[in-house]
Amino acid sequence: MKRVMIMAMMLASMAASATGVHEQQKTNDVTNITWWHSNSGILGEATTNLVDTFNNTVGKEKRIHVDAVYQGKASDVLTKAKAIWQGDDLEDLPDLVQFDAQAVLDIRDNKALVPMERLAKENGYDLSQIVSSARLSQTYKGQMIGMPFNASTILLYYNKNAFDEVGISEPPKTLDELAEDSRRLLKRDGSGNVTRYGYAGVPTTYELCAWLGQQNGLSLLADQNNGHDGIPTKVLFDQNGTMVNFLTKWQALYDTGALDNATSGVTGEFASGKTAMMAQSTSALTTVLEMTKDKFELGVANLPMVDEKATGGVNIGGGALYALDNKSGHQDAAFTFVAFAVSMEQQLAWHIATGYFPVNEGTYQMEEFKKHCEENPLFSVAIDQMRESNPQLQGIWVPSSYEIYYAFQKGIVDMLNSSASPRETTEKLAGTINGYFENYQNTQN
Amino acid sequence: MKGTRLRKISPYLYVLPALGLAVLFCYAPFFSTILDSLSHVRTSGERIRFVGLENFQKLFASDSFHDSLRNTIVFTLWFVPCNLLATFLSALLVHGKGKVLRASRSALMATIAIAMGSIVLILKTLFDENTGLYNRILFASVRWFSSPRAAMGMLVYTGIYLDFGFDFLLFSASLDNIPKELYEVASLEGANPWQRLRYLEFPLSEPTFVFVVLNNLKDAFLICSPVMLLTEGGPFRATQTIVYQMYLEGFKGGNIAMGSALATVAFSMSLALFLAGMALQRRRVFYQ
Repeated sequence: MKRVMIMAMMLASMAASATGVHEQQKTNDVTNITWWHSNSGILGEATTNLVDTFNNTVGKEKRIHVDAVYQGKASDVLTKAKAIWQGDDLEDLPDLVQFDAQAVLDIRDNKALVPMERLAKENGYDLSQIVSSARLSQTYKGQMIGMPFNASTILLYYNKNAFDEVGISEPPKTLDELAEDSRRLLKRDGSGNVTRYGYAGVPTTYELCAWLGQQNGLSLLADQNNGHDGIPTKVLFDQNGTMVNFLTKWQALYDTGALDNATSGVTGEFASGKTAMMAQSTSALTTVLEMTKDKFELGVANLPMVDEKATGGVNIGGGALYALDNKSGHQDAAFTFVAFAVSMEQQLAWHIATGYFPVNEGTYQMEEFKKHCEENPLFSVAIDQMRESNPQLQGIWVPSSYEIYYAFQKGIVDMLNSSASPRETTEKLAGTINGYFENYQNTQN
Repeated sequence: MKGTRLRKISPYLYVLPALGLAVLFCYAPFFSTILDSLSHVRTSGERIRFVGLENFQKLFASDSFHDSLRNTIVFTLWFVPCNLLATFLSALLVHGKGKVLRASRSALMATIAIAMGSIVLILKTLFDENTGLYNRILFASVRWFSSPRAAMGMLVYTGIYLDFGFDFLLFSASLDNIPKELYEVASLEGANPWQRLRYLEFPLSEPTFVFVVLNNLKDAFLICSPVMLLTEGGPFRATQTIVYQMYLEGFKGGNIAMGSALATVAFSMSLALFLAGMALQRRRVFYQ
């Protein structure tokens, strides 16, 4: 009898606490939004600040609470999300996820994706306040699928002390000038070993999107609008002459002996003075400034144009926020946070903290922004380059992006190390990459 | 009557759980991989149509596969002998009694205690071209990550580091198992250290040698994780191995058919090697 009593009491208390929790949730009525991201270090701090600011202001007011969950590198975030949607347990998906360009093919036709443009329309949000090149960088079949968030472009970094030493006053504007400057910057020790290269790096997908895309004002690398309108069926760089033109210039640069075919550690090499120039993302600017501040004066400039006719500029890369349908019905609340994150004030704070471009047009008109640019001239070079570029110049969305990355890298180095001509190399690259496109088509129907 | 029947089927009942698991996790995926390699497969894993050997034809014609194949063979040819030499010599060196030797043995074995991922990430830092310890020690600026040859050397070194502890343990144990009487006979006969190695220690360790070689061949042919963590197949695909390419095609690129074709190739090649090794063993290894 006693035992039954105890059991009954326990049950009663459990029931009471259960309803208590339930009621608490009801009275608070807070909508919880989960956001998976890959921001660590400086980016992680900026992310925490952004989320805290939201939760204490707009979030408090509208009863929305955002949980930012660090899920590892961008590729890890994708792997984790993939595991869920392949298993059809869509309830386990976060409401928001931050992906980079590698994820586009997995997300764009995904049944779990809620296109950002649709959410914007439903919430009466005017998308024209988003920088148009950033908006187009997320546009698939005419619709913006994700909100550009951490936007960056490629930039030329150079060692001003080395430039002064050999008497070059201006950074190179074209690849011809890059070759000429590199030749002058090349330094050898007594036994003929190179102690300083002019330029270090092997161009691959990242660099080629700009160097091929910018030619003749604007050129496409692949059909289907560089893959933004569907899966590309063939590359175009072999037909429009852009690759041959680029490779010819690149071979000339290599022939000076001042090009270092380094594939990794380029930033370290640059910081230690072993190369006088490199091309890197604008998002690395804070880090590179930190690494070089005690060693030499850092300069940055627009990425050199392939030739005088290559006026397209550079494309926007980086990442974006995607809304996912996890059957919670919280999409509108999630969008409230997204709109907050890309508001002009928050984009200013994000830009100052991380170096990523503000994606909100409003930020560029703010006095604080202009003041920040004046105080940080290097950042304003990066921003001016982006603002001057053709917004239609976009990165490529291709399947087998890893294999294509290595195909470019190996193809270019093989050309430099052999007697293969730019034309032969172009044809070989086109054949290889078209093969990847064809293989991918075979997985579709 | 009933009893004998039960006795007849009971072994099968005992085997059933293990067999069921093996079928579920081993044989079913194995045959499904072979089927996938002969088909077009959707990214979701659904087979679209049977295409015969098309995937293999495309694979064998591609530069990427030629690189993977060459790299895997080069890796194997460096890794297996270097690893054998390093582990067997180390085992010989610290074989015997005494505190110092025992402590050295523990130290050499300790490499098994650290997980593969951690070791590879630590080695990656040590190999860093600008700030790494190895370049400091060597007073050189070896381009471990930008030079194809150096990158392969780095991968071989990493492979040896990963297998060292286990293989060292096996060799140490096999040397410890050599009967003391034989050593006594050897010293009575006036054998010098070289003769002792040649006629005593080496022949009696031969079964262990065969096992280590076969195990190393398998590890070398299927190497992938260190590549993923260390070089991602670069520079210029110089460290892209067959299994790493399988990972790229099948998982990163979502092309399951091509990934399965690579898996089938890797399987066939390691099976052939294994059978060759077994045949060799039957012919000439002496078991005590």
